[in-house]
Amino acid sequence: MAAKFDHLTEVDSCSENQKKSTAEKAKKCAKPTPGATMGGCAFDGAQIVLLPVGDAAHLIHGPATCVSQNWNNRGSRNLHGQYYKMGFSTDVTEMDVVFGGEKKITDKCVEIADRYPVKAIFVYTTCVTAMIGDDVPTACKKASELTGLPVIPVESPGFIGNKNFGNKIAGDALLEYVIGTREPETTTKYDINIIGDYNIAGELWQMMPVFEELGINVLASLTGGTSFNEIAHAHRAKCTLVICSKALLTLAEGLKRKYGIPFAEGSFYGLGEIEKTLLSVADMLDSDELRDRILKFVERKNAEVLAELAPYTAQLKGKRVFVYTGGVKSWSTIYQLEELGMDVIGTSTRKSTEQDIERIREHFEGTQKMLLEKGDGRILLNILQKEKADLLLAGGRNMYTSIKGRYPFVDVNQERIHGYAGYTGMVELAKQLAYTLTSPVWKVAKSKAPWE
Amino acid sequence: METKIKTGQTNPLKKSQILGGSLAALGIKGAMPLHHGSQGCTAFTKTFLTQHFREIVPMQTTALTDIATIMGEDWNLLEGMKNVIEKHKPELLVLLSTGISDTRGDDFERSIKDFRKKYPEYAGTKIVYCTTPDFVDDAHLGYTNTLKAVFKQLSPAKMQTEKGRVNVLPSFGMTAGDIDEIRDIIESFGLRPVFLPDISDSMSGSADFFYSTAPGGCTVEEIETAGAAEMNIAAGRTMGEIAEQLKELNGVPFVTFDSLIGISETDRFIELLMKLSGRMDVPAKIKKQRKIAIDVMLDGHFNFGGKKCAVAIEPDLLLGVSKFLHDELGITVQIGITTFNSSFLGEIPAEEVIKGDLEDVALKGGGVSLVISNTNAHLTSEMIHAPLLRMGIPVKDRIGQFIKVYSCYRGAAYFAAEIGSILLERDEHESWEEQTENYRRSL
Repeated sequence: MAAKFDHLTEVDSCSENQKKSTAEKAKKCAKPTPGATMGGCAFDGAQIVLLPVGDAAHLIHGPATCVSQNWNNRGSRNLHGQYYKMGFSTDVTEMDVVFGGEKKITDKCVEIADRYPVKAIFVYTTCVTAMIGDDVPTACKKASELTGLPVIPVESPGFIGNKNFGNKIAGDALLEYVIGTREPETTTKYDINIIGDYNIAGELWQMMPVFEELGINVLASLTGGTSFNEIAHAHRAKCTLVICSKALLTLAEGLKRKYGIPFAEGSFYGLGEIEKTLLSVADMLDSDELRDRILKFVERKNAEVLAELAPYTAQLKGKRVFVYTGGVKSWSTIYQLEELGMDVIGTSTRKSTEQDIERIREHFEGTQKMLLEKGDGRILLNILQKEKADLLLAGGRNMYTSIKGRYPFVDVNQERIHGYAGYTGMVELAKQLAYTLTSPVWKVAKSKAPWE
Repeated sequence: METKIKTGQTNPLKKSQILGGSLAALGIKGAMPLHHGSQGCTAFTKTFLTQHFREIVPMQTTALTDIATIMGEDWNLLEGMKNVIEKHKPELLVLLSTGISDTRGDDFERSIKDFRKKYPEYAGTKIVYCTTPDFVDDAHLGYTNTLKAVFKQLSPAKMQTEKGRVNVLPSFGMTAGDIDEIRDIIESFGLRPVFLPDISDSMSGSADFFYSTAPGGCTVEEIETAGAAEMNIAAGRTMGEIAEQLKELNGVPFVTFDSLIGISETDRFIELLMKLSGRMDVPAKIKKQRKIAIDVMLDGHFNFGGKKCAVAIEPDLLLGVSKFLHDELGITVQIGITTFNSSFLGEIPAEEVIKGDLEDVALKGGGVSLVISNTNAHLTSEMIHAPLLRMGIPVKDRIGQFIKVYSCYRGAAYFAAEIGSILLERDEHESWEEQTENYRRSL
């Protein structure tokens, strides 16, 4: 199996800097430390990318942990179907481990197609089913013949790598089995693909009105809020925007290689980044007319949003915030918070590429701000205390660390309820920051009990 | 949807063994669960329990990566143990296997021996292990299997009896509210209850500081001295097996309760405490609680009659909840769905009991007025237009779930009130719809 993925590791985000020595690469690609690591596996990563496809069923070929502790747990939103909220599993048992579980794949696919009007089925290989050597692609082919539906194998055993690597495996499956299998009914001259936004808490929906007003047509979203057929159309787009995802650059590169579609990276977080990202679309489409339209639009929007933000920025001004996210978000979020007038005292660089880190370093140059490579709850709390932070912005797993330390907190992970992208998202973020910062509960929590 | 024989699962009710095993470990002060598997197993389980408890949930992984590591030496396991002990200094390391390590056939006992030889400096940390592959059993059995392993390996031998000490073995799925309620009652008889394990102390929010191992719970010493109890109380049918094992190990007699939900089970429990303590003057507070519970049940019985209900939950809770619904409230359990086969499933007073998943709630629950299950049942209960009363694990869309009380008289009052309120609202709504519809037609 390892050989199949060689091309993914070649363009792995951790080795993007080709000039680096092998030793340097190895350091950045270091394996997780046993007993001192926390993060998802490749299977988790593959699901992050593919689950948002709402009208497809997602069948997990594995034992209980892979599905039972994992289904109905993503903040993605979709109007094409709710199947991403369901947990389909072959529920591998001891018997299957001994005798193989391929037949269960075809049986379960037939059952799913019988009971639910899905458009396609993704079948995920997990650790145990990879170890017992089940031939998932062949079972998928057979299931496809029996159901008349596309049945897509996703070979994503958890042990093969981390979450980022799983993202790539998913992108690869889309490129190999889905993209280019259908033609769109109509096309426009401003058709684009968006890669890497999963419509968490409706974030893509926060951007869609912007695209619509500018006359930009999102032909295929990979994969936030999308349908299976929409993904199949992606090969007809004129350009691709990759949103906050280094891992899925491999998919954008694949689209370029196979169909000649140019791509650029962007972010929907913060006014400056939105403008830059929109302009990069105009550049890729080589349209001065669109460029002018964007500039006028952005000027008007920025003024509107700044007026709306005013009551909140007054409360946020100068407040000290530490950002503990990762990857591309580690810099894109900083810009957004600074636009709200906050003082970002540092950020983590987990899962960030050298390029991302370089970007933050340049931004922080000449200050005492901190880049934290790897942290845990205790390290985080120490930083917050030492730096006299007012607030922590991090993923949901750190929420309770923050609460135990009595620090206001805003959640930016995938299970959250509020979207922070686009212009409306900017206002939403300001509100959420202000609400936690001004809550009277912190005072109560810090008050002494009568017996203390 | 027609009912056919199902392959695998759709919307699983069951959780995997490492979840139950970790839950058991989290009730032991200073313990750290270490999963021998791919990092996803732990990431999923940790996120799941974090959302359920709304607390920091410590656990670690040996982070098996690539096939070479998996098929090769147990370097990851020894290295993982060393790193966890070095960094977090747990009092007890609880090793749990996953599907991966069990497919390759790991031998924990040998690995622990190798570890002790290689790192004598960590002799102060106790290590226990349990085989918990996720292609066998479920979280409920993962919880009981791990507890059995913990007791066996920390070998509570026969010892001198400590007067008044009572061990309570709480069932899978009990809340911190339940444990605290039971503790309160036992203490009010002048006895000293020790909960083995005790998640009310670690996962209820009472730990208002940062921690990286279980911040509270029973102590390792309390496990080692389990043999000093006068009596073991198994609060849940499967917990009886553990009590029996303990009796073989240390000779402590035991009493098993199907659950502590409902009036009649609580009556039995109080009788036992009266006998154990020799106190016939039951505290006034408890007498009052019983009267209140019965009053709530009387107030609600107008809405209980003729109602049907679907219950999807682990076996111990299914037994307790069904007996309360059927025997004491008069609600018919149309379908009981649970996670493993056991001989006592036949005793559950339901029209049908199956080992199944949450899709079965929709397939077999047509016409019920109420579904009792975890948060994940919301989709299927919406499909059959029945309200969902959240219970079990996970409940991630309610605040304060973990302090709710279902056990003993107070729990019976709250539980009957919650069920009654849902049914009352539904009755009023349905009556209005029906009456207005009939009236319109008559015009």
